[in-house]
Amino acid sequence: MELTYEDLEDGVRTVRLVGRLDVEGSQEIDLKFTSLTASHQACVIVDLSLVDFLSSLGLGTLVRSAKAQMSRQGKIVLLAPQPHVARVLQNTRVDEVVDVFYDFEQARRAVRTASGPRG
Amino acid sequence: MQTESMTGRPPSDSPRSRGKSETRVFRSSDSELRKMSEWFRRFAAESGLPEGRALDLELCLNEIVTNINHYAYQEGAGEHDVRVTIERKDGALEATIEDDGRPFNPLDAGPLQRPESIEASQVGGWGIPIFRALADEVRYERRGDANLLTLLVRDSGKS
Repeated sequence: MELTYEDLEDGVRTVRLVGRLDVEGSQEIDLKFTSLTASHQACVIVDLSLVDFLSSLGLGTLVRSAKAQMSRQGKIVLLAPQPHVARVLQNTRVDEVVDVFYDFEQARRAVRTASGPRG
Repeated sequence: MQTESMTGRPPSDSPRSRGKSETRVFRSSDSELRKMSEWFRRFAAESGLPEGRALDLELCLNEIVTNINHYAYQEGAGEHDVRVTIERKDGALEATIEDDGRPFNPLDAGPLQRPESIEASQVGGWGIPIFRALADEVRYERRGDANLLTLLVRDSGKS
């Protein structure tokens, strides 16, 4: 599992995950992902477009950070899950509490609106 | 039913034919999950199961075996065997997972409640809803000291 991130000029952070977000994958990225997405108030887009497998433990990694960010008045949204990953989000009803977008600019506007523009 | 012995020996012919099956025994450890997935994907591809349906059943197996690893045994009980059999049926793939943990019928679990908000939403408890949603049929049986959970995924099913 690979994790890369970029901080955009408007304060939005994009985190891109690549690979299998299964038990092993979530263990590989959990510490870094939590540090990047939950340790302080932030507007975060998690790009799932290159995640080809999502299990419930991997989902826990995403939802824990989304909960933490909400308590800090920040926001996490998910971007472009592949169909199989999107079905997992639907079947677990996580997509009812964490917004999912398929367009980057829409995702960017949504996280900025939620927390207000910074910097 | 043809059943390959658990020696890692590859099947002698393609499992595309109905009735072909393989069994593997894994330790009740999450470190075994990817090995199980690799084995399953190879069998599913050889059996001609459509890719989307193979992903569905692979995820079901991951969720079920993860549940067994985490909840079927008392802490400190050490590693147990989890036996997984997959069989090519007519227009479907069937998987049976057998463990000797405490009795547990996942079909008794209630439906997933709609979360009110991200703050109120649970983290976890998704494994059973996932495999119940993805599999076309799920059967549970307690046989002696073993839990047997059988899932059927049809070639042209839910996905």
